Amino acid sequence: MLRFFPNLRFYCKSATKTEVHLVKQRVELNFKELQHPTKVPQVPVPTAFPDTTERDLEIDTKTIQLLERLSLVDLDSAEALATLKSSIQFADKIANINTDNVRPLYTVLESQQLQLRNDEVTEGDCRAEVLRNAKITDEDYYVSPPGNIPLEQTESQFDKN
Amino acid sequence: MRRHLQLGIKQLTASYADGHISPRLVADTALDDAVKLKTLNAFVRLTPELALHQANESAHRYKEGQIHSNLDGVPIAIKDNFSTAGVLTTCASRMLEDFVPPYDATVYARLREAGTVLLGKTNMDQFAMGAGTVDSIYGPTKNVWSDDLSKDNWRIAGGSSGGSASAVAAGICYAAIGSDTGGSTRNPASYCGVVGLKPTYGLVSRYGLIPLVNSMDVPGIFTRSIADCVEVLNTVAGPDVKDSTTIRRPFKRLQLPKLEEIDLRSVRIGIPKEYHCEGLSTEMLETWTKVADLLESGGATVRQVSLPNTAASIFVYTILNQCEVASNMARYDGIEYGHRATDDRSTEQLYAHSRAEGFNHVVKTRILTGNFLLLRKNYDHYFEKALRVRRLIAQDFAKVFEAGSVEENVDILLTPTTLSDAPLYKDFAAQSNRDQCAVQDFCTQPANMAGIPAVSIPVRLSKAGLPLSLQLMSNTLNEELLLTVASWIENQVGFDCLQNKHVYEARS
Repeated sequence: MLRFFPNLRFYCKSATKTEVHLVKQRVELNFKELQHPTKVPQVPVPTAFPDTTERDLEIDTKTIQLLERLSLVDLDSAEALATLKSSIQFADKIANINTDNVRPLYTVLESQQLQLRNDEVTEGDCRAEVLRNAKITDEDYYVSPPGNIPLEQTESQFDKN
Repeated sequence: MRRHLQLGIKQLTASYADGHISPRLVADTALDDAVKLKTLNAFVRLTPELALHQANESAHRYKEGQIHSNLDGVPIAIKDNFSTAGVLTTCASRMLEDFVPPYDATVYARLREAGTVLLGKTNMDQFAMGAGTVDSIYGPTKNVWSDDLSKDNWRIAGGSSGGSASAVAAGICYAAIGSDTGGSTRNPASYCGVVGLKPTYGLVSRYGLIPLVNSMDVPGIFTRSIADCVEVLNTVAGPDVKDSTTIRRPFKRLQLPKLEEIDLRSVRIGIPKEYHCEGLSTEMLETWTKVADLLESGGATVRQVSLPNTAASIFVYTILNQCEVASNMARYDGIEYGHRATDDRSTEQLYAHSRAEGFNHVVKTRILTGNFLLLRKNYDHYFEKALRVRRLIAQDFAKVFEAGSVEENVDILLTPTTLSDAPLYKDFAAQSNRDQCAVQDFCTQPANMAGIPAVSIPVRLSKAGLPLSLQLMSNTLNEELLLTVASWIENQVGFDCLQNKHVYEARS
């Protein structure tokens, strides 16, 4: 109970009257006062990662167009390009860490075997529910424009910067 | 005055049971408070009809003496990236602005079956990509502890689950669900002065949680006390056939010892020195130092340990995040669900336009960067390399928790959650999203890399009157000890989650 009435709260003065006997006077903690030599480092622990912003990073128009095609989103401004570049430089920081003989960790549950369920239908018959979120449907079909047409890309798209 | 506000969940449901208060009244009051505190922007959508219906049903069950669980009739809120059948689930994005899921996320399904009352869906950074809850199509969430809530003088709530943290901190609900990929539950919990738990990866089902980084995402829990957190975890945890990445071992309900029975003499606390990084505020350092001292005075063994790969973690996290985002976001094409552009020249054109219109610049840049890092020529250099370093980071934790002699091991790690108290919106917004996350997630994302549980608990107020919180981490599936130590600290520091002027003003 103590936890919930650690002190008299100003916003429920009248309500706590009956609980007063439960209130144990809490001694205000002094955060400057310690009883033991502290184990918490009092100065920052230095880190050594290479400054990767020095490296000149060139991303050519071809690569940008490839990324836009793969991502199906547009790199729409000089700002976005700058962010992309700085994100790559940020990623470069770990390049020098020694990972010889260290296997990639894909999942923290790697010691657990992934369970396969039986190939049986357990739910379904919900066509209306599933189709309900589509903007355009025709009878029981989703509708999309013609396929097999490559994304239109113009070089000038990126000459803004 | 709202006396029930200060009750814990157990006490609240006990007063339901003995008829002192009804779930209907509490739900009414909660919905009322949510409206009065609208300025915080904690909710993107309230569900009053559903809430009142659920509250009535609950009241009926109490009358009949047939309650569903310890959480029956307790008002909760759910982050808007968890699917709720028939209730819009938007990820605070234009892409899913009209999306109404036909099914419930397992976390919500279990809470619903337990008899909780859903007040609404909470605000977040778009697709959970952020550390401030400032990148939402519904506008930013404000921190209830801000001195001034006007113009841009307010403090951020933290993110990405800022709405959930805010709703609990403002006393609107007793518990809220968030998600935690790199700190998205602990970070806002820290800034808003509430308890924020990131459980062991796989302990709580991700089914129905719209994915950000599949290998790190976990549902998170916000409450105003550790005891409440245990109640919620006991309700939502455990294997789920709909999520093959849940831990298959049956879940044993947590049972914490009574406060006076907690014996710290057998507990070994580690202080990982690398968590004192550049930028840690003096007040936070003082708080960390004092609580370590309190634990030692309480009988625990406290020693400094080293997790040498900690500082690399933020880079690895950022790489893996962007790569998984590039893959996860591929599902949004505007055909089956989500925003659909009007361009119908070709399928690809439609995809590209729908995505250009539906995603904000943060999402777009992460997709583009992720695809760059995954290019055939870059794959080994960035993606695989990051996964290798991820193993080193996980091994650091395994070493301090498992390997070596008893003298070298520890049970619990104590660190800051965030580097300072909540920043002012104007200062935070001046940085790029990547820099925001790199700073704000420094102490939190390593736990996601290793899949271990971690909890943020508020300790005291800073000079600016804002909560300062610390993080505890333990080995995988050791939530019981983690929360036991947390509840010991909670009792020592006596932090009052509701003692701020906005909580008071809204209700007087």
